[in-house]
Formats: sequence, structure tokens, C-alpha cells
Amino acid sequence: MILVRVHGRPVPLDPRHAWRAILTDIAAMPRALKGWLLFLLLLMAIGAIGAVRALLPGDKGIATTPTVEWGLLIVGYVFFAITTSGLCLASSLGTVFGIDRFRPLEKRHAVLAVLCLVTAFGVIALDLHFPVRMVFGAVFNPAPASPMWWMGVFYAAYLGSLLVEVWSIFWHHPRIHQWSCLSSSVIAVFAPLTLGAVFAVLEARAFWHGLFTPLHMVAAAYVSGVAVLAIVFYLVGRLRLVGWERGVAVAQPAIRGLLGLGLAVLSLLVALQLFSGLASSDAGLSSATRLLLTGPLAPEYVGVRLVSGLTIPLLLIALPRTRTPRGLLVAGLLAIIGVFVDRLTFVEAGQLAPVTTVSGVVSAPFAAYSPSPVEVAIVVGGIALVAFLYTLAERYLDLSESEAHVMIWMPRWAIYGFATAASVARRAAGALPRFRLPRRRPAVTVDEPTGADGPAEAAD
Amino acid sequence: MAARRRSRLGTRRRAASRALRRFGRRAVARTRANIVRLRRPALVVVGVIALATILGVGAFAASGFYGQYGAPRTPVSVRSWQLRPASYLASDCRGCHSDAAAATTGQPHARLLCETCHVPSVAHPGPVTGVVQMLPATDESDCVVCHAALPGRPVDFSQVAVDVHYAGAECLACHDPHTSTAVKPREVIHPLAHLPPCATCHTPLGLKAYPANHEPAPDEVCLACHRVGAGGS
Amino acid sequence: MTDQPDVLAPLAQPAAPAQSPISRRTLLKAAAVGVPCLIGGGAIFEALSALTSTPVPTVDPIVANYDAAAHRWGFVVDAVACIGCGKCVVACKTENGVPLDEEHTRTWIERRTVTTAGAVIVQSPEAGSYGFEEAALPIAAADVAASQFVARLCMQCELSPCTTVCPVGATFRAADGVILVDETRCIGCGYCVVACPYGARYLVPAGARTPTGVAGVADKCTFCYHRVTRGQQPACVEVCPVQARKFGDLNDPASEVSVILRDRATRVLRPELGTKPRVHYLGLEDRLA
Repeated sequence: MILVRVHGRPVPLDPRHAWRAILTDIAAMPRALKGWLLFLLLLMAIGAIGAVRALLPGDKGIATTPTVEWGLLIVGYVFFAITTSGLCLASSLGTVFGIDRFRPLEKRHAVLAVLCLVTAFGVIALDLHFPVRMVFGAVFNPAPASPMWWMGVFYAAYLGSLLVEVWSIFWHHPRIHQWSCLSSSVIAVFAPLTLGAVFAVLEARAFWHGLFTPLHMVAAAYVSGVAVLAIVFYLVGRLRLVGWERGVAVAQPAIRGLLGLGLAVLSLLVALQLFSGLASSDAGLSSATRLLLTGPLAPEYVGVRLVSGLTIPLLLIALPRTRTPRGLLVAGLLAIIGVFVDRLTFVEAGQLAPVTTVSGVVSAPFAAYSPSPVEVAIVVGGIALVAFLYTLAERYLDLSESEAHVMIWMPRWAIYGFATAASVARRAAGALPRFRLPRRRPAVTVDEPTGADGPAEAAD
Repeated sequence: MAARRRSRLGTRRRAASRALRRFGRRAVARTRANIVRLRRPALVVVGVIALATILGVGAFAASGFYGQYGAPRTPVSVRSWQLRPASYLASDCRGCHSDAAAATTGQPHARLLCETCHVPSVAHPGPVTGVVQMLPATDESDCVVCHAALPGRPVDFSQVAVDVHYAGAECLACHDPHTSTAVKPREVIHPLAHLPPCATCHTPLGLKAYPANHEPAPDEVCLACHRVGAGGS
Repeated sequence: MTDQPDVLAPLAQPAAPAQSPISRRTLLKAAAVGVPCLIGGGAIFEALSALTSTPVPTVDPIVANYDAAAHRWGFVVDAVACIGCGKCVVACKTENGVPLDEEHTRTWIERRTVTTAGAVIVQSPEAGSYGFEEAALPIAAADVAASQFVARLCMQCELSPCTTVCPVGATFRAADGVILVDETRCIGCGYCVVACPYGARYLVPAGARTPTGVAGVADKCTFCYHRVTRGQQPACVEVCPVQARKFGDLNDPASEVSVILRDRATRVLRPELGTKPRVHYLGLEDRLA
């Protein structure tokens, strides 16, 4: 008989016992949790309906056309894949380099990463017309000239590495965990690069072509992963989940720093990309950039991606007044929505603005694409699936920090070098003029002797 | 040897006290306790080099040899094109339809396939499911598709402004598509002033017997074809 | 303050290692047996499905004797002679069983018009299959500086992006230069569709008309490969009333396309992309290309 520990109690993997244990546990859940899980189940049901529709032979209900062949499902796959990579990138500071303030991210990022990657594969399998052929075709007919083949290889390796990592966390094999964290972190750098290369290699699509795209993909991955961690750790603190003390005190400020850094780098890349696009002599590139900034995609791009996805989260992180857990939550939510909309507009802009005509796009400067209900249902169902399974993971798994420390052996001078650089940076940041909110004038001025003002001013 | 070892120990101790002063006891103790050294750091380096090599090969394969690589295949392994029958020119129309074939000989339409205007011979002798019947054989829309005057058409190609040419009358009323000849409507040879409407004296078959009823008839219908210059551009 | 846990200190007690219900040895044994089983099972499945899918047909002897390496097919489109009647599009859809709608088409006609102000207007109503009568120009006739009909089809590029990016090698170049799609290997990812700079490809939609009987795979002009291997010409070339499309073997110096490419000035579309298209255009104006 196989025994599994569920919520501290050993449960035999016998269907009857398991069923009874599940029912007892559901009854013991707090109402808010039941409501949340029911809501997620509803969204997953909607996703399942869309998935069944997409799997049935005949019209799949997907709104792609030969002009815009990559739609919301590809965007969903890209989003989940880069979130997975970003999670490992963000937490590699703790798992690989052993920096203490990032260690609370250890277990949670691994669980989230596996869930996101499995969902990514599920979403792309629903888009491919022959997903089983893909698995065998990629193995038996390798195509090393194809960036998509490399992307498949890297993400498959990433899945393997993540599964080993998760297994070694929960079955406590520290040395295997050490190696798998290292391999996951290394693959997490290269995998979004190959995903970007899928787009960047195409000379036909001027908006996607070039070195920007893979770098942008890595930066977006980083921001997306950190934003997910920000949301998760807000909930850890708010709901007093396991490990919340260090989660709030150590992890949240660390995540805030990472998110700020990621958003700053991403903003720089986006600005560079927009300026070079507007100034470009390539008609395809400039028309696609104009499409984003002033054309049909402008409301989503400028409003949701630039303003609410980059600027507002940066302000929320930088301003002292909003350096609160709730501010971090809002920044994380806005940032992740911004990354999703960014990938959506990215995939669309490369296809809606052709240079010379392609079949079907001849009477308007830009083609048109709007996702069908089936595609929206599948992506929503995917997000709900990740949230659902992660909620169960938080409830039934021990996601606290463990003693399995991992550190790359670095020479002493490198360790001290990094630490010195960090302290210098901190001191330089301290030397900058501090941002002060203007003091609000009292409605009624009271004449007080100067002595009474002293303590009030000292506490400023 | 011993001297070198001693000096290395001294270096470590000195470095440790420097670290202590800079970072504090707690941080050093934490870092010390947290170090788990990888036994074979060389493996990490080898792994990174292997990864870089794989990526380099991939980039190389995707860049300079763009378009020349793909899994090697031969057409023999693709069966679908072997199964497909040829629809056009599947049989010889002129063998049976010799009269139409003779009519086109030496005429502008001789260089056309019969199937350019008629259904492809695989559909013969009637409509077959799956074969496009977009251009049935005996409709005027057939003529207009090629011979309407449109911007973009070469000027040396015979084309007419369809609405102006004989007021948009049916093409087949005058033209024979096989011989490409046309029976031109006779133009009016007498002045029209001070005369009653055309139908007073004329019928479609010729002049009426005198005297005719004096009912009025619209002249535009007749003059659309029978006036000078009715052919239009 | 002293009874508060020092949250910045590392955890003091290591967690008790959980007892794994599956020992490492069992897991390794299972993996050593299971993974080859999976791969072997998959290979057997693929082989069986390849054997049992369609019976190997008896083919026309001409097809079996066709030597792809002996030919090098070329295609020339005469943009001056083309009258935009659309019969080539109809012929292609008839011959190959292509869906009848505008977007899913192997070949199409565009009318390209440049105005006196320099703007280029491109029209392709219903892929040009019904002609251009119904497609009035949105500008006055006096503003038209030049106008031509340009027939578009797969360029069968020598350095094709589509064959490079296919992740499973389903699209490939035959020895005679024609690029074909193996519908039994294509996964329908659409990478070749977005990679093509000329928009020549599409994914076959579900419906009554599918060129190879399979929906969801990539499709494109194949130079009517089932005709050229039998010594005939593509349907669009045969049907054209003004012989604006020309097809021939570049290995034969006396063929029409060889003569044209040798003696007359032709151009290709988007040469700056370096795809080396095999379809050349005669008389296509610079400002319309």
C-alpha cells in the first residue's frame, strides 16, 4: 500500500480512502477558498469547452486567416513559456547563487514554473492541427535549421529539468536539486532566446526581424516571472501562508527590487525598439510601429502596455508611498497584464502590417484580427488551470524554505566583488536626491513656541 | 612547500578578517554556513561550452545556409500528387466538336483552350461535384470578364466600355465567340429630323407596309444600336 | 523585541527528509524500461499508421519514370500582357481542388495602380477569380498614373525561408526546384505561412475542398506537380487566354522561358530579401513592384 502525506496526515492511495479524505478536506475548507476554487473550476470548464471544440475535426472555431496565421493561442503559449523561464531566472539568484534574500522563492517558483510550462504545452497542442506528429516529427526528423525545432528541444529539456527539480525538492535530494536548479537556470536563459529567434529569423516580417526580439523576449520573461512571484508573495503575506514571515520581510522587498530592475531594462528596450522602428527606412517596420502607436492597436499598446504595464508599475515601485505589499501586488498585476498585451500586440503587429500585399490584404493598410471565443476560452482556461493547481499546491504541499542551499562555487574575489558593487550601488542610490512628497499645509495655522516644533521636525 | 602553505593560510585568515570588518559577523557566518561547494566545477564550464556549441551550430545552420537545409526528401515519398488526375486537357475537345474547332481556326480565339471558357474536359459531359463551375459556357459574363475596358489592361487588347458599347446590349446578339466575328447592326442612313418615331415605318424584320398606325415608340431603343457611332469606344 | 523570531536569520533546524514511497532504484528501473518502451511504441505506431493509411497506388508509367534531377522548372509572368480575367485562378482551383474563397488560394491576381501622387493601390477581389469588373478604383481615372495586373503565386525560391523554418521537415525542395509539402508529416503549425515573404502559403481550412484530402496542413502552388511529372504544363499556364504565364525547363536552352530569361529584362519580387525566387516578371513597372 502506498502512503502519501496530505496536510500532515498519512493517506493511503486507495480509491475509497482517497475519496473520503478528499471529501473531508473539501468540507474543512474555508468558504473563501471554496468560492475561489469554484470560480476557477468554472473558468476551467469554459476552457475545456473551447479545448474540445478545438480538438474536434472540422471547423475548430479559431479565427486565424492566412494573413494572420498566428493568433491568441500562440500568444498564450509565448506568455506561459516566458513566464516559466522568468520564474527560474528570477529565483536563480537564490537557488544557484545562494543569495539569502531570494531563498524564499525556492519552492514556490519551481511549482509555478512546472504548472506554467505544462499549460504552455497544452495551449500550443490545441493550436497545432497535428500535435502528436510534432512530438515524433521533431525527434525522428530533426530540423536544426529551424528555430522552432530548437525551441522545442530547449523547452522539452526545460520541462525535464523542472520536473527533476520539483521532485528533488519534495523528496529531498539536495545534490540532485543543486544540479537541476543550475540546469534549469541555464536553460531558462537560452529557451526564451530560442523562442525569440523563432520570430527574429524571419526577414519577411520586418517588425519581428532582428536582435531586439530575442533580447526583448528574455526581458519580458524576467518581468513576467517576477510579477507572478510578486502576486504570489503578496498572497503569502496576506493569507499568512507557510513561510510568510520571511516572505514578507525578505522576499517582498527583494521581489520589488527585481521587478523594478526588470521594468527599467524592459522600458529601455521598448524605447529603443520604438525609436528605431519610427526612424527606420524599412516600410514594413515603420508601418508596424505606426500601427502600434497611432493605428488600430494603439489603445492596447499605448494604454495598457506602455502606460499601465510599464510606467505605472515603475512609479508604484519607485515612490516611497506605494512601497507597500499592496503596491507590489498592483504593480505585479499591471506588469503581468502589460506583458501579455505586449506579446499580443507584438505577434499581431508583425502580421497586420505587411509591406507588399499578401493574399487577402489588399484594400486596407492593415489587416484585421480579433480572437474568436474559442481562443479566448482556451487562454482563460489555461490561466485558471495554473491558478487552480497552484492553490492546491499551496494547500497540500510544504512550500517553506528548506535547508537545501545551492551555490555556485565562485572565487572569493568574485563574491566580494559582487557584494562591493552592491554596496556601492546602494550608497550611490542613497546619494541621489531623495524624493520627498510635499508636506500638506494644515488648514489652520497655530502659533506655537519654537521649542514645540523641535521633536516634530526631528521625526521628519 | 610548508612555507607556501603557511602563507596561504595567512592569506585566508587575513581575508576572513577583512570580510568580517566589512560585512559583519552574521553575514559571514551565514555565507559560510550556506556554501555547498560543487565537487566538479569543471563540469559546469563544460556544460556551458556544450550549450554554446549547440546554439552556435543552430545559429550557423539557420543563417548563412538559409533555405538550403531541411530534412532530405524525395518526391517519391509524397503520394498525393501521384493520385491526382489532370483535369485540364484531359481529353481532346476538337476531336468530337470539329465544327466549333473549325470555326476558331485562324481567328483570335484560336489560341485559347476550349476549357478557358467552357468547363474543363474532366467535367464532361455534365457538372461533376468538386469541379468548379464558375464560368458556365453560354453566358455573356464570359465575354465581359476578358473584354471589358478596365484600367490595367494592355491597350492593344480588344476591349470595350461595356455600358457604352451598343448601350450594354447582349454580346451574343451580334458576336459569335468561336469565329470572333460580329454582325454589325445597320446604321441609320437617313437624317432623323421631321420624322415620326422609328417604329412608325420599321419593324425588326424590315420596313412596314404603308400606312402604319401612328402610335409613338421610344426611339432610344432603336437608336442605341442603329445610329452612327453606336459602337462606342 | 527579543521574543520575535529573527526573520533575517536562516532557519536553524533542517527539515526532516520526507520518506519517498518510491525508491530511487525503482524509479531508475522504471525509467530504463519505460522510456524505450514509449519511444519504441511511438515508432511502431508511426510505422503502422504509415503502412495502413493509404494503399500505394498504381501510377501512370510516365510518373514513375520522371527524373526530377533532369529538369529545372522556370516560370515567367508577363505583367504587360495579363488582362486580369482570372481564368488562371479558376483553373487552379478546379485542377487542384483548392478552396473557393479569397484567402485560401494557391494563386491570385492583383491589380496594382499607382496614382499621380505616388500612392500604390492594390486590389484583389475574390483573388481575381471573377475578374475585376466589380472592383472600381477608389480614385478618378485622371489620377491613375499606371496600372498593371500582377499574377501572384509561389515563387519556389532557391533559398526558401519556408523549407528552412519547418520544424519537422514536412516541406522540402524536390530536385527540379519545386517546393512540395508532405501532408502526412505537416503538423499545421503555420510557421511556413508566416515565414513566406510572398504570402503564397495557407493552412487548408476544414471544408469540402481540400487539395490533398487533409485539412489543417500547409498548402501552396506546386506548379501542378501532378501535371509536370506527366509532361504537361500547369493548368494556369494552359488556360491563360493571352499566354501571360509561361512555364518551361530551364535546362532546355530552346524553351520559351529560357529564351525570355536570356534575351529580355525580367525582374523578381522583393529581391532584397535574398530568397532567389524562381518566378520572373516581364514588364513589371518599377513603381508597381
